[in-house]
Amino acid sequence: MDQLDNDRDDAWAVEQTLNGDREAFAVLVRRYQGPVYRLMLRFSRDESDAAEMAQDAFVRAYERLAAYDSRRRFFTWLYTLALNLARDHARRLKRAPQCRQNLDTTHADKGRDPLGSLEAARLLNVLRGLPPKYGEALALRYIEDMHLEEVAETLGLSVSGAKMRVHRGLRMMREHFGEEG
Amino acid sequence: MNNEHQNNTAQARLASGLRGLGGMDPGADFASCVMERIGSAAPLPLPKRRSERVLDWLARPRTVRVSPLAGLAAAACLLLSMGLLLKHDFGVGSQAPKGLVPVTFVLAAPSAREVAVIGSFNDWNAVGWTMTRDPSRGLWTLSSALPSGSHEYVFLIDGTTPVADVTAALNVDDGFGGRNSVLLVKSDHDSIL
Repeated sequence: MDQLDNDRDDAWAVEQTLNGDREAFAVLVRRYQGPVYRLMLRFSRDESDAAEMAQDAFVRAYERLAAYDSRRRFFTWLYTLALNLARDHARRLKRAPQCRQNLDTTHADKGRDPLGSLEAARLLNVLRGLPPKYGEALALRYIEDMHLEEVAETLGLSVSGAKMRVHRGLRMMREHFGEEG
Repeated sequence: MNNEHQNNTAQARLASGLRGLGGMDPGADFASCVMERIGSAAPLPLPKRRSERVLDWLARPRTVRVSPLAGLAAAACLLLSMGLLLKHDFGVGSQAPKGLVPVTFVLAAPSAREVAVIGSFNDWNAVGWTMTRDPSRGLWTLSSALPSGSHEYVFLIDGTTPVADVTAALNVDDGFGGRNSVLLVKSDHDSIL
């Protein structure tokens, strides 16, 4: 489905939901559960935390659906809402005492590696450590495979601004891996 | 040149590695978990007329994200040129309740029929927060007293149109494409503007 079809489909699902058909909202959940979950992974300590936060984001989106302006792309609105939740959560995490986890070790110990490889786990960890304005630009561009225009629209930037953030984010990641040798 | 080539290669590898993270998914039962939680919630209100939806939108709690000041409705644009700022005085001469700081809201909106202040301090409800019109100056004012801290607000014009305060030092994105003004109230009876 191309972007325009996707947008129309989203608008239809929103309208149906607001007309009382809750199941229409499931269309939106299934379509965007991946990006929202992956966003929450970047702001949480583990997958179950991220999954719960992702659920919270969709529940909140449902509750606030009447306030969604259909002139905006649905994912942009959903992403903004989810990002605000994620940042609130991250701020609370900072204040709460934590057991510092070594993500690589944790996955290896549990005998499973849901991220597919330890390198992927390291990449995610480094991404988590970037300032969100760069981390999110990188994530939308490469993890969610968005065009720069879509990255710009989602983050509320100009295209050149989005491009700059992606380039700087890549450079920061490269420097991090360079430091590790 | 060699360095640049190495950098490009490294970045391409990073980009490729990041793409690999795109496969992570919360699983096949995620949607049913969400729908189960939604199912136990109250049904959504039926779709309303646009004016009713605006009021509904105004009544919901906000999340705050700081962003640059955006364009504002013309009705609120005169205050800067008139040199008026959000100020603190005792309004109509009554003492502010203990622990609260007197504040005065001012808006230039000569063509408005009715203006109210709605914000985080009154649950975005205009009842009891109607501003008083000064026809000679085309100004609307309201004096009240608020606890110290940060308060978000907008002016509600004619019961339907929210307008941010052009004189506010800080306006924030309300998460729905609009702007809320922010008033920072200090407990020593001075506001930060």
